[in-house]
Amino acid sequence: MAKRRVKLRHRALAALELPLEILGDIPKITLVGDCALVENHEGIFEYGQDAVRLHTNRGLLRISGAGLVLRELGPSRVYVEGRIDALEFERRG
Amino acid sequence: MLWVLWNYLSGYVIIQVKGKGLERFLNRALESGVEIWDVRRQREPDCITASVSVAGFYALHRLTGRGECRIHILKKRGLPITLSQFRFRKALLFGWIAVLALLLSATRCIWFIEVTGCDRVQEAEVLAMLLEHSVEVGTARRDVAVSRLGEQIRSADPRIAWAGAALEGVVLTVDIREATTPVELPGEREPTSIFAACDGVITEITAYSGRPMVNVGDAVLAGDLLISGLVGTEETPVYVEARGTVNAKTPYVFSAKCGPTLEKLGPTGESCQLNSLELFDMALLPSWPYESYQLKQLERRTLKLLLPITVTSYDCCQTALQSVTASRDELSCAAREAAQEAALSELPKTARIVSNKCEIVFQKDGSALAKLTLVAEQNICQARRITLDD
Repeated sequence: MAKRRVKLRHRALAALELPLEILGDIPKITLVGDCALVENHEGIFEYGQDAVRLHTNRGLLRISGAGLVLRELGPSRVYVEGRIDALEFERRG
Repeated sequence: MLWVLWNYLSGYVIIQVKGKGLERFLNRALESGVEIWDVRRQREPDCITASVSVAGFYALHRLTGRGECRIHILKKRGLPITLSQFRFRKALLFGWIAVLALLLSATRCIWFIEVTGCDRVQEAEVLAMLLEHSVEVGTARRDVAVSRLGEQIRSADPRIAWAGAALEGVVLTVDIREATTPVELPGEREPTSIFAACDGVITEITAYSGRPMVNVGDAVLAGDLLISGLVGTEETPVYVEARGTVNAKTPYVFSAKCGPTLEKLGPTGESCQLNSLELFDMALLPSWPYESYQLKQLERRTLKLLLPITVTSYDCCQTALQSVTASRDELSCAAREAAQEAALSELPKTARIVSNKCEIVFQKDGSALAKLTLVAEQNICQARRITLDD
């Protein structure tokens, strides 16, 4: 039921040619140089110097690199700074 | 940038969090709305450092769980923390307040007066005029009516055609323009001729009125006629006032003798030790006991007091003029300088030195004789009234 509702919302947005960001619950990742801004996360799963894993509604977002620092940590946004090598989603199931 | 400034103004602490379940702790902080920044994982296992506001720090204490994590303050940063340190440094705080008060009061006065455009009117005269209007160094800025000051100066002296004043900070600038001097015309024009005031070789001749009698390159002796005031023919002579300039190269010879001994400042053997105090750029010097003395710095040390006071010890040696036997070089230098001084005092101010040569001859008694030969270019005009004899 929930999946169907999400699909319906996505279709409506596509039909109205609106950006997906306005849904407000899907993660938005902005990468500028060696800084990554992750918005709409749902908490920290793991934090280390080499990897940061964040809960999102799309699964775990893994940011790999070296010397990673959480420059800013807020309820809806995380600003990660350091040498970023990869960003990947670890899907559930 | 604003965020950093706000954090500095409100104050924050750098904390170290140790223990198991650090991610859980961070998530609890996020859920509670506590802002955390600069989170760094340390090399030590299960240890992070982070920055948090003072209010956030107290909120975090409640989130440490059942002793899972321990929080320690590593550093305190920000303006409130810096200001709180002044509670124990009352003298420094008082000093800052005193300096600020002094600075504020000092900027309310005029400390420098600059006068520009002076030529015939002396700067001291302008300063005296300002003093008459109660404007001097130390006068409060608000007591000076800058807009009226220029007019007041102009009306005080007829030689000043225009005057303006501007106040920039603590500097009062007074700019004056002097009135042009009217050309003084002789009441009665007399028939005159121009004669040579001294010997020389003519380099330039300009006759405004009258008849030039010499040419460039001519050698003339003192008293020779240069520009005649007699114009016209022999039958109908016309007399005018001859005017013009005649420049000529004139030789001068000056000599001066020095030696065999020279008067020099030397130590008398009497000395005493004195100290001076220095604070920043201010120096408190002792009153030196001798009229003529030579200083030798012995020691310089800074006292470890509230203010950086430096004490300098000097050895003050009395000196007096003494007759000493001088070397040939010293004698020749002294003789040359004496000859040059004599030349400068005797030469007319308008003369331009074209060439100079100095010869030193040592006498049998050991003294040095300097012979300075100068060639100066100058105006050699000397006006004289035409008489019947001429």
